[in-house]
Amino acid sequence: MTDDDLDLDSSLRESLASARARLEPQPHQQGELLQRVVLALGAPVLPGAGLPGAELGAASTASTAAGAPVLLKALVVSAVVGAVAGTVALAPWSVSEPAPPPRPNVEQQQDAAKPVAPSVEERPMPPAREKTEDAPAREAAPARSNPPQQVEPSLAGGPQPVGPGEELALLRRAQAALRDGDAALALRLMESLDSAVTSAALSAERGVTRVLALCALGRSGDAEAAARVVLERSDAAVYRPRVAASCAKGVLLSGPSDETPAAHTQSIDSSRKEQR
Amino acid sequence: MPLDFQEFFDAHVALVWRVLRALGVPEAHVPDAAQEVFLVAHAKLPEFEGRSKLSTWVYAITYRVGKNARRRFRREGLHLDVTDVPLASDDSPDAALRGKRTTELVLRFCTDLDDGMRDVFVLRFLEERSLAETAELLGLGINTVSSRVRLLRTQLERTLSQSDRYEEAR
Repeated sequence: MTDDDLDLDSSLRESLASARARLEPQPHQQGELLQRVVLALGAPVLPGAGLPGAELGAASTASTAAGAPVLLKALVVSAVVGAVAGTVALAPWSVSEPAPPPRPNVEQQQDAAKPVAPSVEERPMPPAREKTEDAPAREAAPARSNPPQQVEPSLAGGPQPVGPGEELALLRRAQAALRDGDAALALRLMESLDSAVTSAALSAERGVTRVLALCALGRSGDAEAAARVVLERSDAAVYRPRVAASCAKGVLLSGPSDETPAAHTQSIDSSRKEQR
Repeated sequence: MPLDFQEFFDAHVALVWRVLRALGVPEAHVPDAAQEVFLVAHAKLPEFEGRSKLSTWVYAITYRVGKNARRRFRREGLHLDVTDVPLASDDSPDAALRGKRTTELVLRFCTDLDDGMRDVFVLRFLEERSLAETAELLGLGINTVSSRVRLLRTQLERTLSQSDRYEEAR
């Protein structure tokens, strides 16, 4: 930071740096967003990049990274950057490929491009995709059918040891599936992990993911039961907001009070014993 | 020097995503809001006069889109968990969980602030804008921003230290 007014100690700086890094998009999210923006600007579709159903992660990123320059030739424009005294000036953009579809309302664009300080006007967002985090929408959403091969083969045959890295990867995959509206896959992954031998470190995180998946599938009763387990075994303060934002929020009214750190440690210990 | 859209996108996508999250847009809604930011920027870039840094101009657009999105959620009565942070992939489980919790704590701290304090927090603490730039972007005096920064630092230290004590107790 350039000024001295912050005067942050090192741990505070590290926490903020960590938060900054984790609030940035993953490579596959960047690729998907780029694809969406380019499509909205009227450029041709890039095969396989960021499309629904494309594998998340490195493959998607690689295909996007490789294909984007070709695609974006259509959007390369006569912009000129004149770096004078630290400022940048750009000439108008022009799209050379087929005429773009109607862009967002001009008034909306003008509004969004105003300086920050003046009063902010209300303006609608573009149509939201059907993967909101609000519980009612999830409950109403039909479960997507998935081919059986989407379940991790290594977990399909019964209890097996799962390393921490693999457990984390599966958990992330389940959370990504949830964000993409594929609650059935998320739930199957959680169930697979539950039947495997895992560490206890991520058990509560798995539990919350299960709650959200059950809510998305409209199984409120099961979601509440799963939420009770999470709130009993984990620090409620950490997971309560996510439970409160789910269809299982009712358990918070009748659920246990805040757990102490010591009780949480005991809970984790007993959970470890159970799993070993 | 030619500039294509991907250069522009690559240079600003992290800023846009981060600011939208900090302003209270839930993870699942960020792609929609970020798309709007880039469409607006694409349309308005010819009018960019170069009186400020390009990133500052993009920040201003992002700020407006993010605030409108948050208002819309509030108006529609949506109670979304804006502090849910995905687990990172390149850490050990313990580190991933610790980082996730810290980030969620910072986000919760940020979203619990009132608008005036949150704006300063996002710009000064998360985006590391200078005091003068923060004041200019928000249309505030330097002294006002400075006093808010001091207050925020104290509150943030308290919040994170409570979290640290909890982690140690585990």
